[in-house]
Order: sequence, then structure tokens, then C-alpha cells
Amino acid sequence: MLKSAWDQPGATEVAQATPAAPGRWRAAIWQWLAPLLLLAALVGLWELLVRVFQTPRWLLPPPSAIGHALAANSALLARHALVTTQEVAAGFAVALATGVGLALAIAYWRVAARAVYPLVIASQTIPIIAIAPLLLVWVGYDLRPKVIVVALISFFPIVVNMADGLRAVDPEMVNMLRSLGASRWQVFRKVQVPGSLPYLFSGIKIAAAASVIGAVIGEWVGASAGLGYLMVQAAPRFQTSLVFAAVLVLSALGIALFLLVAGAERLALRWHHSAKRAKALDLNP
Amino acid sequence: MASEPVLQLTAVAKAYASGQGELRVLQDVSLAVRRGELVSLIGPSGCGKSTVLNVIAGLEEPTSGSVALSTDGTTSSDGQRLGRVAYMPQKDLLLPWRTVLGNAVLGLEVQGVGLKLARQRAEALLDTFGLSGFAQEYPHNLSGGMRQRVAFLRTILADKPLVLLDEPFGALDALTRAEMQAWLLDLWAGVGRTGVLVTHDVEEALLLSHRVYVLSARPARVRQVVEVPLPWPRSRRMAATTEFAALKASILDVLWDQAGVLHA
Repeated sequence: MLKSAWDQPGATEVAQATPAAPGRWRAAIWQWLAPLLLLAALVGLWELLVRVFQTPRWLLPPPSAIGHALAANSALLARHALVTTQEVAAGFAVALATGVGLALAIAYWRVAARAVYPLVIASQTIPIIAIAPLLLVWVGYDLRPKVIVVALISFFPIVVNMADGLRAVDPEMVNMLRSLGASRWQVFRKVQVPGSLPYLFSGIKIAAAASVIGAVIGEWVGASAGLGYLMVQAAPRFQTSLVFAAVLVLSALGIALFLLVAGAERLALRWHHSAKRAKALDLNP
Repeated sequence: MASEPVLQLTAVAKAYASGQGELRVLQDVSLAVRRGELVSLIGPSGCGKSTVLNVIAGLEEPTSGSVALSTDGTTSSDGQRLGRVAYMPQKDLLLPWRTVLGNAVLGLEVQGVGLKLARQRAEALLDTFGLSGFAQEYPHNLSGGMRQRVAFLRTILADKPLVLLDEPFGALDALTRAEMQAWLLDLWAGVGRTGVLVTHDVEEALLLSHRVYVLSARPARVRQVVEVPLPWPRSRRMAATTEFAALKASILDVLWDQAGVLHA
């Protein structure tokens, strides 16, 4: 029919979506290399300054000493890191379940939106560090108070983002599907859930970064294991290199969690990333 | 050809509660669409044309009056029309996370047609809709005209006896719009559907439909019913005839009268 007339403009547009391969590789390599180079320069400067001014090790150890502490205490660090990882994973799972559950309630149940949402926001004004010792009194000295602190810190961005995402769905889209004869459940599954996933992942990424902080706070208040506990033990003994080594491991833990979430997002939201790329290339102004 | 109407609106009125009183959107809308006909609704902007479609689709119920939708021998009235008409809104409303094919099969999927069969049926029509080779593209990679054709494909594939089109070409540029009109004329001859088209473009209404209902400003009443005597198949060239111009002028007279535009 009128096929050839239609194919032409669309075809050129799609062709633009894949830029020349070598340029893309160079951009990708540079994207990783730039922050690494800056980091290396800063670490080098640190090493140099500490040596030049002969700063005592208990005050500020040079990066080389931290590296040494990391290697010498690897078994110790690994043991404590495992405990912290368990706290983070459990707390994160709790946050995800309650966060998504609350978001669904807020989005689809007017009473919950009125009653729960303000409380969810108010809960974030309570300093977690203030109630952490209370949790210790209430639930005990074991893993549980840490899991609760992690969950308290990381459920908030999940609830808020997911609820926003569920409410951001175009009501006309819902009408269109209903007019086709879709049930409420079909509308929910085919439009509202996929539409809110990018929001949910934004929330999870923020939560991932925050959850490690939560675990450390929980351990500082009272623990017998974990990287936070290790730091609290090492600092008063002036084992500053070990404190830094623990910080490094904690940071690696946070980054690993973030990358895990980002990877899951990439798999789940291929359309979203391809849309962002199209926008970056100015395909659809 | 004159058969019983597929759709019959009798004295439909619609009012919404607002602030202190009520907002009357439709006052008295009666219209009939017979099998195979494409009927246009035209009126000043904000006159409630889209509300008429919402009522026909069953998304809203009229305050008074009746809507009868007769398909496959049964007549559905209030509360039973959802899922019995294919509604194509003004915006293409494609799901950005679904490919062209995934969007096209949405109507069939909702009705419980197996995914494999639904895909086959969609693929068979890709060519007709100028989408061959684009089955696996996401909507954001398509031009406005192509997106609109995907929305069309979704609407037609939903396999409903009545199709509602709400300003389907409103968002397109003039040239794409003319191409799409020509394409729709071609398509309509092939699929043999019954349809209601809402537009604010007199030429489009005359060119595409059997009959034009001219609505008044809000609250909408039917001001004029124009049978379009142009022969089928239609072509864009017919818009240049004196007969066409006279029809267009008579409709514009009614519309301008509404809007209070001064006659020269």
C-alpha cells in the first residue's frame, strides 16, 4: 500500500539511534577512567603529604599503611564484613517488602494515603541514631536491632518513589485499557506496575546507599561483631589504619550493593534505558 | 445497505456536579451509526465531543437519555458497554515499555487471546499499517505518524464492532495529517468497520465520513446533521469540488454562528 512512503523517515531515525561504535567505546572507557585517575591522583597526594610532614600514623596513616592493614587483617575484616552484609541484606529485604506494601496502600487506598503518608514522612524526622539505643533495650543485642535500623533508614525512599510512580500513571491510559475491557487487576499488572518500576528502582538505589550507613549506626550503638563494631574497637586503640581499612570495606560493600541494584534495573528496564539514550541523542525532542 | 443502527444515542444528556451547581456538558445528543458507516462529530472546542465518546465507550453513563449498542444481535445499554467498543484517544497512549508488537496486541491480550495467536494477527497487519520492520522497536524510536498508526493497529486489532476515534490526527503536522487521512480512507474500505470520529477539522469530517453531526457549544446539542453525498471511494481531490466547498461553507456557517464569529 503506502508502505514505502512510510518506511523512509522512520528508517533514518532508527539508524541514528546507534552511534558509531569506536566513539562509543572511547566514551565508555573514558567514563570509567576519569574518576579512577582522579582517585589515584588524590591518593598519591595524600601519601606524599603524610610523608613530607611526617604525620604520626595514629593520626593519619598513609594509603600504603592502610593497604598493609587491609592485607594483614583480611580474615578479620572478612569475618566482620560478613556480619554487616547479613544485617544490610536482611534490613534491605524488610525495607523493600514494607516499602512496596505501604506504597501500594498509599496509592490505592485513600484512607491510607491520608493516614499513613504523613506518618511515613514524619518518621524520617526522628533521628535514627537517637532511637538505636532504645531498639537495643527493646529487642536485644543480636542482629535484630541492626536489621531494624537498616530497614528504618532505607524504607523511606522506596515508599515515596514507588507511591509517586503508581500515582504518576496517565489516567487516560487507564481509561483506554478499561474501554478495551480490561479488569482492574489487568490495568494494575499491565500499566501501573511496569509504569512505576523506574520510580521504584530510583528509590531502591538511594536505599542501597543508605542501608550500609544504617548497619554501621546499629553496630556503633552496641554490637559484638560487624565492621562498625570493629571500628569502635580499633579507634580508641589508635589502630587508625585498621579503621580506615574497615571504612574501605564498608564503602566497597555499599558500591557492590548499588551496582547490584543498577544491574537489576538495567535488565528489568531495557526500554527505559533505550528511551534515555534516544533522548540524549535528541531523537524525540 | 440501510440496516439497523449499530449505535443509537437518544436524547443523551450529561451533567457533572461542580462547585455550587452542576456543569451541563451534553444537553441533547441523538445520533445513529449504521453498520459500515463512519460518522463524524464536529463542534467548537470544549463542547463535549470527547464526553460523547466516553459515554459511548461506557466509561461514563449519561445523566438522562439512552445509549444502545447493538452488536452480534444483542443490545447492551447502561453499564455493559465497557469492552465492547474500541476507543482510540487523542494521545497515542502507547506503553513505552512495550514494543510496537507488544502495544498492538494489548486489546487481544486483555480479552484473553493467546499471546502467540495475537502476535500472528498483529504481524499480519504490520505491512498494511506501514510498520513492517518495526515490530521490535520501542515507541520512543518512532515518529509521531508511526506512533499514531501503532495506536490505530491496537484499536483495529481489538476486534470490536464499533471504533471510536477522538481527533486521531490532531497532534500531527499538516502533511502527515493529510497522508494519514488518505491512509485511513484506504484502510477503512478494507476493514469494513463502523466508527465514530471526533474532529474539529471540517474538511477531515467531510472527506472521511458518511454523515457529519454538528454540535453546539456547551452544553452540546446536535445543531445540524449533514449527509455527505460524495461518492466512495473518496479521495483528497474531492475537496476541490464546488459541491465540497458548499458543504464546508454550510457547516462552517453553523460553527461560526456558535462561536459568534462575524460573517463577512
